[in-house]
Amino acid sequence: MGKRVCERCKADDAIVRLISVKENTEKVEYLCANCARAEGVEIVVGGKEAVQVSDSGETEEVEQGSREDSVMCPGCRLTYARFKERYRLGCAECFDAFRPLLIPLLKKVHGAERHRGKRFARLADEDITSGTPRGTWMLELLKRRLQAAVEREEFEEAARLRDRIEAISKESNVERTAQ
Amino acid sequence: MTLDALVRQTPMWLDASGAYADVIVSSRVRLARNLRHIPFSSQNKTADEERVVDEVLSAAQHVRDLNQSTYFDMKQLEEHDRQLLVERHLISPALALRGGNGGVMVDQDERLSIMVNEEDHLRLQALTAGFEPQAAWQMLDKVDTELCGRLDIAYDADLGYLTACPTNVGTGLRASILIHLPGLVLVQTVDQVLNGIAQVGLTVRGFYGEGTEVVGSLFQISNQITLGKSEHEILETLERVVRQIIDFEYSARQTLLRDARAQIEDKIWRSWGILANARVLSGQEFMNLASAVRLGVSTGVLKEPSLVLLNELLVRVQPSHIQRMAGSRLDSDQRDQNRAEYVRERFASTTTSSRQTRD
Repeated sequence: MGKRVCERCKADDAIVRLISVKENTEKVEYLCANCARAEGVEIVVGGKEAVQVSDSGETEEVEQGSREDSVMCPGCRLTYARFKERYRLGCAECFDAFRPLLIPLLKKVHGAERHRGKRFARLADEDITSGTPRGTWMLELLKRRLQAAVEREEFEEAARLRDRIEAISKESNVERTAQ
Repeated sequence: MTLDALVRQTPMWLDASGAYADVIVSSRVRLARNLRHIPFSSQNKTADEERVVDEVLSAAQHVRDLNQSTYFDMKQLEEHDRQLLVERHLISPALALRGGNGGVMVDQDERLSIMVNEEDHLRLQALTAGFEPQAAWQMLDKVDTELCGRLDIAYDADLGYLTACPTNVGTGLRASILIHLPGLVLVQTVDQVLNGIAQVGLTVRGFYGEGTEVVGSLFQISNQITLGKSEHEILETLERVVRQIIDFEYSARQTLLRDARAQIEDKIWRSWGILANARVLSGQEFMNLASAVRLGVSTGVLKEPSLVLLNELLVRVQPSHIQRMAGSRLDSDQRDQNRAEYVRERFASTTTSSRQTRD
């Protein structure tokens, strides 16, 4: 479905095609999520094709594609519709939120759906900070941030940065003298 | 290391060592990695970006291979200096453009670079001279283990490393070979040879990367598939196919020198003549002439200049490098004049001995 504006509010993107059948005439409307909800349509994500028959004999159907589009990642609030536009995921959690939709896509791109390469392994806690920290960039970066914070008169932030700078300087000094 | 010191040195990946240096300029391998608990760049905020920088730099301080590295903060660099890093293949054009809290850690001899806050939180890259993707991978694999092992990386047991773009999911690995194919271009079979490689999951780009035109018969061949194959398999496929292309190129060069020797030698020597004497030289013209001269050196038609010099010029005659040498901003006409002067000087200092022909 191409880009379409909601026929009711004329503001948001239409993501639902609402088909109402009344007295044997079919009426098709394209609505945004809010207007569709106002019509009593429940937008289910990842479920089966929803065909609702209301008391008045109306049949309401929500197009499958539209339902996919409204899936939202709880981690970064990226919708699948937005993902399709930019083709970029928003965070690690997106892979769980969109998994059933992503798997066929990955299969198409890579011809596979399972990683067979290097496995991520986190170093043991004691190894992570082993060795004397040598690079000076962290200190330089914090000092620049400190200066900027002082200029912006953000003194709480400045104090926090000053503590970190002191901690890092001390750590490298202690280890250097210990060697 | 300051930016000035960086500009003065010749990156190791241009030293024309390594296998098949007469066809392959360099091999590059990169890995895409993200932190688990921070949104990727398209969804994140300034505070998120700062956290990424903090975590990465804190971890990097403990990595031995990064001891002598320099961190360039994009915010601290002028636009033309960011461009300079692009020209040296240390950062992507995307990082140079996006600004924000991005940066790059570069090791002393420019073999390793680690971009922070590009499309992915981390883009680790290793560059080597010649046809050495395995050597580049070994170097990168070690840094990845050491650096990313200290971080909470977004990794999924089924999908592997999680990346912003689905095309990088899995290994996050992209290996690419910068290859010079003047023979195939001249005998007009280059399209035929390169068209088939998409079928084995590889892709071809121009010298300047994705979406760029091919100049100077320089192509970048890289893997497209990152999921479902191990790093080793990906590199093996790339190596196998590139080796075939190298063979095609050698035989095209032989055919040309056998069937049209005078014309080819003429093209090579004329190109040499223009580079050694021109007063105005555009970037595009340089690339095309240097390609013919490179063919001359590789086939023994020319003894000088060295491949190292030709490689070095690939980087040094680009706009930001030319401006840096001049110490001021130059318009395009002035750059073309400076470029011609610089190439002339470098040719004059090394090519006196090549004034004799082969016989």
